[in-house]
Amino acid sequence: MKGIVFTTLNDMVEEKFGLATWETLLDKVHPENKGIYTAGGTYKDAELVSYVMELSKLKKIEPAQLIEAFGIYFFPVLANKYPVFLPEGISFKEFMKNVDKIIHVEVNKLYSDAILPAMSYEEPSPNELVILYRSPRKLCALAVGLTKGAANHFNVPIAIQHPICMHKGADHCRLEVTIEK
Amino acid sequence: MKNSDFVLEIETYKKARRRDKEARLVAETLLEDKTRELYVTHEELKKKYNELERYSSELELFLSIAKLSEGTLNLDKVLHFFVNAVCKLEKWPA
Repeated sequence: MKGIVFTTLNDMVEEKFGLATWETLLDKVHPENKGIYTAGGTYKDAELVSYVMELSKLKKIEPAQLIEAFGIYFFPVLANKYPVFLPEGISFKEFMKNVDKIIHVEVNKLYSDAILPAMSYEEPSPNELVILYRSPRKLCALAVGLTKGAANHFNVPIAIQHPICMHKGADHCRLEVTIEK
Repeated sequence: MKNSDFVLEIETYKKARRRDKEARLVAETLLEDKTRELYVTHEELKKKYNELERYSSELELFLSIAKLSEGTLNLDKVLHFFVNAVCKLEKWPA
């Protein structure tokens, strides 16, 4: 998992729960690098899972809920770092479709070792976008959080249904995004 | 230590920490920009290398034709030379 995920998780935990909570997590997780994360590095997925599990135990919040909250927090960080993917005039829906078509292609150029989810889309109506998410990491909660974060950025009210999920044995997740007007 | 000194010291640490964090973020952006530049340069070099390789194969082809017309090579040798040059040009196994 790319370093920016860890540095942002660190920021979020510090901001929402305080510096001491992050220190407690480090003590529990015992990361190989002693918690010295930089955006330039790549770190074990298992470490991220451990942070989420420990934080979940500590704060009595469901792991999926924490991951989703992280996604919402992560979006503005990415938007701020890569404004090139948010050109003037682009709509929320167009942007969401670019995630697989453009953003993940560019990520692969920079980080050839990146493991990216495969996303395909269905557009049943102008106000709906269905995202079919497939990833060995099964981080659909993160996809939901990032989508909500994107909607916040665009100031577009959305609702997300998740009728098919990899965590319930399916080979993909179906995220039905409705733009509420 | 007086309470006000203690608060002042904490504030100083907080300031220093924010600065260190900013420094890390700047260094990370720098690293990413350089990585991107490197990727673009690498892609351009790869393209140029392929172009040069093709140019060199074409030259070999012309040379074989020139040698044939000059009569310095017999047809058998020129054919061999020619087939090799075409294979190289089209990236076929010789």
